[in-house]
Amino acid sequence: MELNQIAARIHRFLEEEFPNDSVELTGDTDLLDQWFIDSLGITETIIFLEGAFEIEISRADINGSNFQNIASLSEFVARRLSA
Amino acid sequence: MPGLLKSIPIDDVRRRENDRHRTRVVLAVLAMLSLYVYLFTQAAEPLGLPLPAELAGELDLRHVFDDDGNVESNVQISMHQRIERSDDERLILFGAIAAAFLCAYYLPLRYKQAALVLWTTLAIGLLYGPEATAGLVGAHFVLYLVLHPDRGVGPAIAAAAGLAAYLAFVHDWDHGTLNWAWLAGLPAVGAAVYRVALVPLLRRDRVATLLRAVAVHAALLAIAGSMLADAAQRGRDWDLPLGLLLFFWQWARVTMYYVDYCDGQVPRDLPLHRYLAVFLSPGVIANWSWGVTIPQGYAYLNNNFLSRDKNAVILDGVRLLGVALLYLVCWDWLRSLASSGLDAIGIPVFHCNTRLLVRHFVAGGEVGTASVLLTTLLDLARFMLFFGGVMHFKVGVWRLFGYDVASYYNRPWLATNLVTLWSRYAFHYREFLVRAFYYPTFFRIFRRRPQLRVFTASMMAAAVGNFIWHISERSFFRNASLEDLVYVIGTWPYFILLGLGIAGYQLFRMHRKPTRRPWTRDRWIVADVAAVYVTLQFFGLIHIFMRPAADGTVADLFRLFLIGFGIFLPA
Repeated sequence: MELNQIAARIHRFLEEEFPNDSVELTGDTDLLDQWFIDSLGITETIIFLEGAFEIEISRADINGSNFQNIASLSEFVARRLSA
Repeated sequence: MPGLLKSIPIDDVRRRENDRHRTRVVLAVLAMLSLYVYLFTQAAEPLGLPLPAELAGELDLRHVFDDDGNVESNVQISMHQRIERSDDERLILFGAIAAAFLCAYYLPLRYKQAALVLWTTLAIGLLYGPEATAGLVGAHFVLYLVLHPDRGVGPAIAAAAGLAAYLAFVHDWDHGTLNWAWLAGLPAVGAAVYRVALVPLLRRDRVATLLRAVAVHAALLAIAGSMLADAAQRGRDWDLPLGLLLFFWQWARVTMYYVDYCDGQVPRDLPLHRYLAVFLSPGVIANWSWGVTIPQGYAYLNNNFLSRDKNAVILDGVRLLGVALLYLVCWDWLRSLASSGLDAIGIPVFHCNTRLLVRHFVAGGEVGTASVLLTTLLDLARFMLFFGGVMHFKVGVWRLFGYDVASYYNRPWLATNLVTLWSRYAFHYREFLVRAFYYPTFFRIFRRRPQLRVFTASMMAAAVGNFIWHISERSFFRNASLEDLVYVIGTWPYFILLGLGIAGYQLFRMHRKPTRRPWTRDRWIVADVAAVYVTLQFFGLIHIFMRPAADGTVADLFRLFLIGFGIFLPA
């Protein structure tokens, strides 16, 4: 799966699950500061990523480098898919 | 959780860029610490300054001051034994913070953390004595060797652990006489055990995992052992040496360090002084047994050390110390004001103390719904004020040394649900519960059943993990005994109700997505206010189960809890 396809699916998920009219969601939007991601949001995102891309996520993957924005999240998924 | 996720590794080049000196920042820190010294110690008298109580003059602030005219403080030294007056202990604490700050500020990067360890060890030595300090440091040496073996300096550290064991458990400090056989023998034994037993054992994966788990969770094993001993020999005191107690009080942070270690976030060749910097920093000394998880484990601390301009971080710390001051000075005054005001209009609130309410009820006294609701709510507010004050102080001190640590306590009165309340009320403690209990459950079971997965993980963190931590807290305040275990077990409804509240809210949110952020300025802001009240009131009410009376039963507590909902059941 291409990186932009991964990003598009994550983008759609975030827009549908955590709607936020006041911010335009782009690849660089800080998910932790500007979007609707809190502790539950992160666990829901993990559940989505595991189901949608059939990857396994571990505790060590939950960090600021991977979850910072859609771009970093997509790269993380792409790395996992190609592993 | 965002605070944890925002922690991203940083290199020394960027740290050096962030390490620029500004004299006015140093002066601001010293001025704030001087204010603390003035208000919370007896320094005013020898300096010829008016006492804080005299400055307050005619204001009715009698609840703020203690007998010697300075401000009564909740910033204190836990389990103090050596120094008679808590004011003198605080003076040592503030002095150590000032000295450590100056070293950490001006020394080159590679010496900063070592200086913090050194000043902290010195302060602990003065406050708790050399015996306890040796016990604490020795325990950390052992843990370090178990987690980071195979280093060239291993035998030397093992010998130092042996020396610490001698000073902590064998040396006669009252008479000062040295026992040369033990003094020479224990370091030699330490080095030999390291070479002959520890290193070979740690090369076997399964044995290494077991040994590390035992070392990390030694505190819990000690509790279990002491309770068994108590069961076997009722009535016999089982004293733990103070040095070990100090080490065990760091159990939660040791666990966080181990979680980082297992996740590969701790370098295996980490030097000893950088390991010690996680546990021995002036920020840990005050109220040692409170908020033990500040500031979490190695990764969080390392990623946030000089991660942005240190002067900005330090000024944030000074501001936080200022807010802490406000809480620490005002909390008891506000409590007495609320208590006397409500008593005057015929609603008894028992000095805003849930424990007194429970005692009154268990003894056969009558209480109404308004009284139960207001007492539990005001007790929560009272606790939040002085707890918030101490937590702000501790986090503020960490920031003085360039650690960009998130606030432990962040305006909990804005929390519109229990999940947010826990982030705002006890951020670092919640991170401990999430990383040590929630994630291991979440990533292990029910991976194909999202609701069950989230529910089980939430209950593991909020109910089980929280319960285990409270057992350790209760045990290490006293001697661990069966009585303590029975006491904590008796508070089970609190943990179950809290767990159900948090898990229930998460399941609700999974089905019904929020369409707006809380505190958006629209007509729904009234609903936010109502949600805050319901959240805080529920959290206050369930604390009835955390304050049992000696003669009461859990059924009594449930009856009192239900009165809060207007339901009166017969005894």
